[in-house]
Amino acid sequence: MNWWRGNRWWLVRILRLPLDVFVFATIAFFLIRLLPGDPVVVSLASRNEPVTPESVAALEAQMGLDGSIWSQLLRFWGGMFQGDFGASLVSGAPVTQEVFSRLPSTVELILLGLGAAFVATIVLGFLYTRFSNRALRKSIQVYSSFATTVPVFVIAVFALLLLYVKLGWLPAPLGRVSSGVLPVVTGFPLLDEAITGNWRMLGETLVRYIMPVLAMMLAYTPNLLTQYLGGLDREIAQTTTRFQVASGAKRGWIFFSVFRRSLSSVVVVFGLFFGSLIGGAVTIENLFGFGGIGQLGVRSVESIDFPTLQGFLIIVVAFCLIAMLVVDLVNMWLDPRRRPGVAAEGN
Amino acid sequence: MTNTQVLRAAASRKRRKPGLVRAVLALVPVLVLVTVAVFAPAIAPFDPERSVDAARLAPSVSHWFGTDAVGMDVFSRTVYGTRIAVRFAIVVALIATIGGILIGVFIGLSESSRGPLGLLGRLLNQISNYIIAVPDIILGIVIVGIMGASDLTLTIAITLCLIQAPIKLTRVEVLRVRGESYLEAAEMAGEPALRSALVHVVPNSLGPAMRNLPLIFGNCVIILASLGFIGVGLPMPTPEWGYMISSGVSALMLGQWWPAVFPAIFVLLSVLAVAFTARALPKTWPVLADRFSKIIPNRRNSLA
Repeated sequence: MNWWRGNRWWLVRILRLPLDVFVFATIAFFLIRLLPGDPVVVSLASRNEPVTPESVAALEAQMGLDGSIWSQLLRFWGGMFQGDFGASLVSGAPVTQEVFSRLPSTVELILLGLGAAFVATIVLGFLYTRFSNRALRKSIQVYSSFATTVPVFVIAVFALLLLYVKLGWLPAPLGRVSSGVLPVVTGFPLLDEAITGNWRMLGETLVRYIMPVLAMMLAYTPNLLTQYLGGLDREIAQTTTRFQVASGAKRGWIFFSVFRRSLSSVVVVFGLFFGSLIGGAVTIENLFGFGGIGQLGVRSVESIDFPTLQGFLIIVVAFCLIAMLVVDLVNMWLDPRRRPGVAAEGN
Repeated sequence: MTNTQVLRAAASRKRRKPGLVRAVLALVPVLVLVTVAVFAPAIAPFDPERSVDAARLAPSVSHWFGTDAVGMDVFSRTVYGTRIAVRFAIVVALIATIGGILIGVFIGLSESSRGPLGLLGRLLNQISNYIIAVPDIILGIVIVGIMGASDLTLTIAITLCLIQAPIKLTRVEVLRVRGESYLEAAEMAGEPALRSALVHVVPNSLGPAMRNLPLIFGNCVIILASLGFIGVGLPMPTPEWGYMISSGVSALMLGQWWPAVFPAIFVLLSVLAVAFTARALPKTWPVLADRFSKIIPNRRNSLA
């Protein structure tokens, strides 16, 4: 019983996840059917096919849009419990397979961009506290105020112009490798290349990642930095810091303590921020010819691939919910005050 | 060293109150943006949707920003692109803010009551919680895929993404306002619930959603350009920045930088202009409202 009380915060949160995914899938099911406009008619019109009752019925059956909305819902739930969202109209492959074969490469890009932004945030935060140079501090503050304004693909276009067209330092943005087919083991390109020992491809991919990761770093650092600078300013003024100074602690130790305490405010934004990271990764993949889930989405839009769009939306959001769950759990682990039930105090 | 910084942080908090000139200056970037949008036909020298000269001409006196791969004037297209972006942003910002306030007030007032209204309020609140989790661009892709690309589709898609913030902000504000004693007084005086909602609750919970409006404006420009960039935005000849950038990238690789770079600069400038005004507005609005109320007496200011 005691164990239950001590661990309830994360058990309940994890058990809620399947329910969340189920509820969202149901909301998405109704949302995309309630939207004005009929994908069947749009699809027939785009293929220049006549709109006859037979052709409409045939396409409705392919898209899973035949029968009443309630029978559709029952079929949809039934399929979902078996992990089946229907088959793509373009390739005929199951939608889950189409999404999961592309999701890892997008996740890899996001993690690299996020990691780079995180490192840049720490470095700039260190410069901000370590030096009292007014111009330096002011410019770091101005940079942090660009949060959520500049779209990442615009930065990437400028990076492309400078680093590829003008200086010629980096290769053209045409995929992950210059030739050959990427090995597929886990779906994460870098990991697969390392596992199969394909060092030439690994090197090429790393070089081709420099520009997109740089663009993501420049675009996303301000989002983390605003939180971090706020945290640093707050924590430096805390009595804890004064006590450490007064008790004659080593300067390095004081810095470390302030950094550690301010870091929790950065981890909080990770969760909120994940959706915009996926959106940014989609545009970046498009620009650098990386494939990924964005390409699947665009292909499905062009061919009005209804089952793929529906499954794509649900799987990507399920993935976002998992990411938010992980961020939440890490937060609650770092800071017990955030756990439900404990939060009543203070806050 | 740490101590001097503490003192400095305390000193910088005491800022000078902005004067009228500074207050007006804060609005300038957005005013420029809107002016370019409104007077686009007068500014642009060529038709933005037709080939007017040879393809891929470098910037010159007759074509300030050069011409693109099919000979359309990049300057005219970029200027008209401002018009498209601003038009979308204004429409979406107005719909999302007004709609968000109304839905937020409804949720805030009804969610704790019993009966069908309370049920509907809680349902809407939950739906909004889930839609927040959907990445903007992904939702845009799916909605455009189902409805086909058009002005209406993109407006619906972007509004659906951006309406969630005003809903949440207003809901929290209504929960605060609901505890105020003037509502109790209104109820005792026998005012109908709907009237008291519109006359007392709405004006007093406008603030956060109104302050969020410039953010919606800027985000709308970004989402529209991003969707255009990946190729699910407005259909082909429309001068839309995102699409112009992505179609200019292939020329960029050959060293013809102008078709992609100029729209990119405009995206950057417009987004920064909106962000600048949005950040300056909370500080300068009281000054402007003060002046405004001197010119037109008996005007109440609901934003402060």
